Amino acid sequence: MAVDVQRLKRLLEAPHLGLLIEGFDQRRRVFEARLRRARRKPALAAVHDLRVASRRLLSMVALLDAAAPVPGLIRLRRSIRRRLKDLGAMRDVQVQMGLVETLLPGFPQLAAFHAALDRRERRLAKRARERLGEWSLKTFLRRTDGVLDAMIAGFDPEVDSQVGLRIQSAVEDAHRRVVVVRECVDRRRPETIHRVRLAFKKFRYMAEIVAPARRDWTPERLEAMRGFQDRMGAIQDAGALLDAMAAYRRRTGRTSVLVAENEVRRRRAGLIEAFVEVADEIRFFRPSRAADTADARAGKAG
Amino acid sequence: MELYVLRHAIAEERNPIEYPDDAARPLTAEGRRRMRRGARGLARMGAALDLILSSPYARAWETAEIVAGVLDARHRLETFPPLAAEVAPEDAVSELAGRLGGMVSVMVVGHEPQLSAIGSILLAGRADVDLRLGKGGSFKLLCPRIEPRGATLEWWLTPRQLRRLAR
Repeated sequence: MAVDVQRLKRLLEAPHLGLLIEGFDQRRRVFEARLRRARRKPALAAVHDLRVASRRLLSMVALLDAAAPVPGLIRLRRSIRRRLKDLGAMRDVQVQMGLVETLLPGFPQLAAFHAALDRRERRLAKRARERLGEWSLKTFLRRTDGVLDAMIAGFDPEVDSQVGLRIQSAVEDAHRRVVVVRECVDRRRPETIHRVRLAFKKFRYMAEIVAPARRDWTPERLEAMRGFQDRMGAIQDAGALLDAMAAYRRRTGRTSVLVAENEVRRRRAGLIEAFVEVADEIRFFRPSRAADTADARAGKAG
Repeated sequence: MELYVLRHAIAEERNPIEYPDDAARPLTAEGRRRMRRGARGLARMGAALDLILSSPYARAWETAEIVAGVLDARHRLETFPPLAAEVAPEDAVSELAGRLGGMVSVMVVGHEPQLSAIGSILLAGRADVDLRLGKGGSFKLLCPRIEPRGATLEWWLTPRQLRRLAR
């Protein structure tokens, strides 16, 4: 296997900067691959993966902006966000359809609602295909290449320890934000849990970026974070489904979905209770300063 | 009694040279593939059948065979001539009433517009309720008695919905 000398040099001379460059490069590649796949066929899995890749790249951009800002980041962030929005509605409908499919055998009266979602999904998929096609991959690659070039050009091992501190501080800030919004959780207002979810997602993606350089962010811990986030995701999905059912009832005057709606409401209440029980686990994910191993990788520590 | 009504899957195009007898038109490969998935959707909707009655036409019989395979009901599969496309729906309903006494869960596989007319008669006593099925689509009636206005509609699913349920 060929050894990438530049890569090794970056990681040995300046582990924090190296981490950012590597992380950015990897995430933009994944994003590009996901975008190409979703363009071919915007199926549920492809759209989901593209949205996840978008959020990971956005977290990367946020971390870069905080730790080692270079020109072009704001424009890149704006364009990714805009595209993320284009896919949001379709992803919501796809998730709702999946949930309705689990309910259908017990609530066959949902068949017409499911058919309505199916029609909506097809419309949105068509629109998503158009939007994804409009997005110039060339422009995206030029922008990300520009960011990467600026990072490499500004590569200065002298400032690496400062960058390390800024990365640490950005991750701590993200965690602090999660703790603050968790304090505001009110089980009667599910949107307060959604706010925790958004903040936690940002924190988790940042944690994934720094994980290769830290002893405390083990794969098991990252997996536990994903599980924690999924709990909140299930609550949000149930809420979105309830909104869609209510809108369908208003639009069509069909009250047949009411029984199933009550069931979804009951299940969501259970999910909320279960989440509130474990919500304080957020504190266990707090990043610790002592665990930074980037210096160790550079051969400067213990 | 639970009555599942299923339209045959996608069949070869009408072609008087290749299929001089329209009853011999088979399913296409895509039709068979889709129907296998649709049948898994039917299984997910809880279809557990005592009997599958199929039109004698090849496309309906092949469809019924696929469903019987997926629902593990091969030995409960029979042809039922009144489900052939040219039989009047009123006659088909009378024949079904004679054949299905004592059954709990039955599927009929046939053709449009006959199937939707049968459903409509069982639901409303007349043949004008729009229950048209796409190829491989299905609806389920709850029928305490096989007679006009003797049924209620439990669900009506497009072929695409059934395939999605198979996931």
